[in-house]
Amino acid sequence: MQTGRVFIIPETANSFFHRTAINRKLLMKKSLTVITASLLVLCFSASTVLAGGYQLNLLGQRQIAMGHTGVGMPLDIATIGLNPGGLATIDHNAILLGSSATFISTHYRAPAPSSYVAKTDSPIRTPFSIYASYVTPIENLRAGIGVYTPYGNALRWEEGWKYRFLLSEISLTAIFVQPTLSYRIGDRIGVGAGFIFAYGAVNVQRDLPVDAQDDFTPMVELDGTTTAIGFNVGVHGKITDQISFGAAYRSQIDMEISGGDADFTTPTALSGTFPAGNRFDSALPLPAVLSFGLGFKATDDLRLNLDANLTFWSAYENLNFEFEQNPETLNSIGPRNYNDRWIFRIGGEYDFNDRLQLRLGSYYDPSPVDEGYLTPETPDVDRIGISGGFGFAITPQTHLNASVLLVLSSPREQTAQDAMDAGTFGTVPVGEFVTRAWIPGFSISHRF
Amino acid sequence: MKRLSQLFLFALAILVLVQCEPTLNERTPDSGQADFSSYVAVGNSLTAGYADNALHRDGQLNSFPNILAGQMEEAGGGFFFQPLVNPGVGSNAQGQARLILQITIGPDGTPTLAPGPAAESGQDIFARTVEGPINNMGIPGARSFHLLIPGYGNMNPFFGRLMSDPQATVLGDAMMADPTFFTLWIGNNDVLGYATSGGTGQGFAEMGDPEAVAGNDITPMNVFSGSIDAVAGTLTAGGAKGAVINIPDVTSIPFFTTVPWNGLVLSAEQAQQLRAGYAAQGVPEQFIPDFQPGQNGFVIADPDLPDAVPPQLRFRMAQPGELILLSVPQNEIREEGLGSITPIPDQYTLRAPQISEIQQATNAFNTKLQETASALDLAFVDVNSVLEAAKTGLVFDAVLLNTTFVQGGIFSLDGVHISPRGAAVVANEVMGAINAKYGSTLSPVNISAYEGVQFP
Repeated sequence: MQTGRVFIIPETANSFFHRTAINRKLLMKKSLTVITASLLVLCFSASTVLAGGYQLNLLGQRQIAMGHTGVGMPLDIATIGLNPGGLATIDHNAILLGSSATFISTHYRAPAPSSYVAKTDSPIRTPFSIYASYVTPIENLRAGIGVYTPYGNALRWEEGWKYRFLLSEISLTAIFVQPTLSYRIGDRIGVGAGFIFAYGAVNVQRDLPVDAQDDFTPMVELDGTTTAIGFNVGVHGKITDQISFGAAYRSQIDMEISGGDADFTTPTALSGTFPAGNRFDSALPLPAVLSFGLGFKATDDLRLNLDANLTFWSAYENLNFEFEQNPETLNSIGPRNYNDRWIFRIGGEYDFNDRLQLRLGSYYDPSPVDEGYLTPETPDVDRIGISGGFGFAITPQTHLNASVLLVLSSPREQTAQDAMDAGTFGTVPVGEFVTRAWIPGFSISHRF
Repeated sequence: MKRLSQLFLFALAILVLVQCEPTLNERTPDSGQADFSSYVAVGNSLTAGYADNALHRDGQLNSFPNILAGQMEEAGGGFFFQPLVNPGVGSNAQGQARLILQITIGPDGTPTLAPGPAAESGQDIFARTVEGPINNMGIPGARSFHLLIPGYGNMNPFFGRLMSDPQATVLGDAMMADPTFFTLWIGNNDVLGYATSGGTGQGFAEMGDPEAVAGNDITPMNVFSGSIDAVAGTLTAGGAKGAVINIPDVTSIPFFTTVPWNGLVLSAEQAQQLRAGYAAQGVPEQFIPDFQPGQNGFVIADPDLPDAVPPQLRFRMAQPGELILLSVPQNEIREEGLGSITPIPDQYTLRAPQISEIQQATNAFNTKLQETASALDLAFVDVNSVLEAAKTGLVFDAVLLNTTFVQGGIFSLDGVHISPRGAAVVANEVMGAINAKYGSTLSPVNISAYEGVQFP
């Protein structure tokens, strides 16, 4: 487990803690806002790859602050996304609007003895979620809708970087719209199911390995959008008044792009090889996720969650591009061969007083990618997530949630031998990668 | 409650204290046992940055020694002074401009892409404006023994433009920079003069007189050996360390491999017509090339056919392994029956015996270069093997490079000299050999940062 960096930190943090203990009263008032604000200031250089592969587990700010747990305990109507079965336990109409900002930075270092390093200069993305629930006139039946972004990626390498012929920039967006029904069976069991309508957009840019007499860099931009459908089902149950459980399954959704724009910027002499107005087909799976959760009400003030998610990444075998014109030269097959992976999560929430809740959480998210298959668009690493946040009741009906998530990784190396063993040499970068991310988030909910 | 709030603050403190930027620290190159403070490159056109059939500024800026010196700078290297020409189209010894790829529209309207001079004539690069000491002593056209000839600048304008004195030697001027480190890449022209002239000069000989070596001869072995001993001996006399680079085989060089030996493609009818044409000229049956439908060897002149064959019948079809040079008038092949109706003159081909002469010389010279490196405890760079491997393709930074003309990326438009990307490959190989020999950690450059052939 690559957690060296995480365990180094507490020593430094300890001295800070002693100082904070002295000034606790002052800090208690100001710390949350000050700290959250300072995160934004400190980390402005950072950029979007949050969970393994291109999964973004950012379905609700209350849950993010608790290590993105909540499958076993429906904390609010974000359960429409996490576990549709939990919606049956919610006895009010509500809306919930939330968004996070992703500041992600990935560094690359070439193999020794190279002194070369490269950084991403990735755009800040704002994955969002919108949920609404409705207590239907039919007894025990709840309806809801969720709009959320479970997958995504935004990465831009510095200009002219070493592997510019593999990738200079990628943007992947997936927006799920999920109308949901949930039904309570007896006092203890809730079941739910949602239909997913998915919209996907992808934009990939890379330099072409040819040179121009005129002063420009030959490159290609692939751009496409698509729609697809899927489902999300779940069950929630209370074992005792203190202990609840949940299980949910969100289906795989295949983003198949047909006839996307392939825009080549090349020297005139090469327009035969790289025809103008070309089109491409490609497909990217958004893998299924099976989740389990346990919720404990330890005391009246303290709630704890344990979650585990199995993402069926093995669906991602290849990333292929097929072109309408000049397919012989341009088509590419990129083996990915991802592996199914479990993510383990823990989170807690403490009622500081009637209006303020404090939250903490953590998770371990091992990479689904083997060495030999690390690519510049997902230079994937094992990740540790540490999160915190608070909830504040402005009125009994209106609540604010703030969250911050820190994603840490240790450097991961892909050697030339790894690439040769995988048969990917020449199509993947060789060297070390490390990623770090800050994701502050904010949501507001209102019940009526 | 108190403890829980403390825990909460503690955890938030962790979040703040952890740096936002991930850390993969840049490595700092080290010179090891070498001293790069005064690096001098000694050699020929490949050291000078000559490319696209001319010495021009872009080529000089991307010369392998200049790339190497840039990386040495990270490890204690000093200023590397190159005798740069003014920006422009450059010039070769005949006053012609560099080649660039050009699109020309044929009479039937079909566009063709071919190298052509970038201007009607080259720029004047031979005015003497350079004051030494000079770090890049690459002299286009120089053979091994030329480095030692006093007054060589009067014979070669590329040295004439930068010599310190009308009686100066290249080696002497190189020593003016007091090298602490050098590269020596010499010997290519000792073979190439013969090879590019189609093997029309004197082949490989063990003994000979430097005074008698003509431009299209192979340098005799004794002359080559003596020159290398003298040059390497002088360069190391002051304790300088260095790297000796060997020379590539002709079959790695696109000038010799681009036009296929069997590029004559005929229909059954054309084959029949050609045979009939030769018969009509009165060529006896046994001397008529065996034209067949499909691919045929080009018809080439072969002055070495037995004396019994009358001179006007000394032609035959090229055989596998024989080479047609890039200098062959390709429009005459397409339009005037060169290589089919009339034989390709000897100056445009390398026949099997000539290739054998070249390869014997190349092997002997490379053996000498390796022995010299070994005897003087210098790094040895086997560029020959790298280019041999590049024939089937090499991948650096996800770029596929090979020795194909134009598209291959390694060679420039003259088919003999390397492109900036080829120079980057050479520089990295040299750095690898230096690091291995001297325990230094010079940082290789990104091949993807250097250009191959530019397209219009």
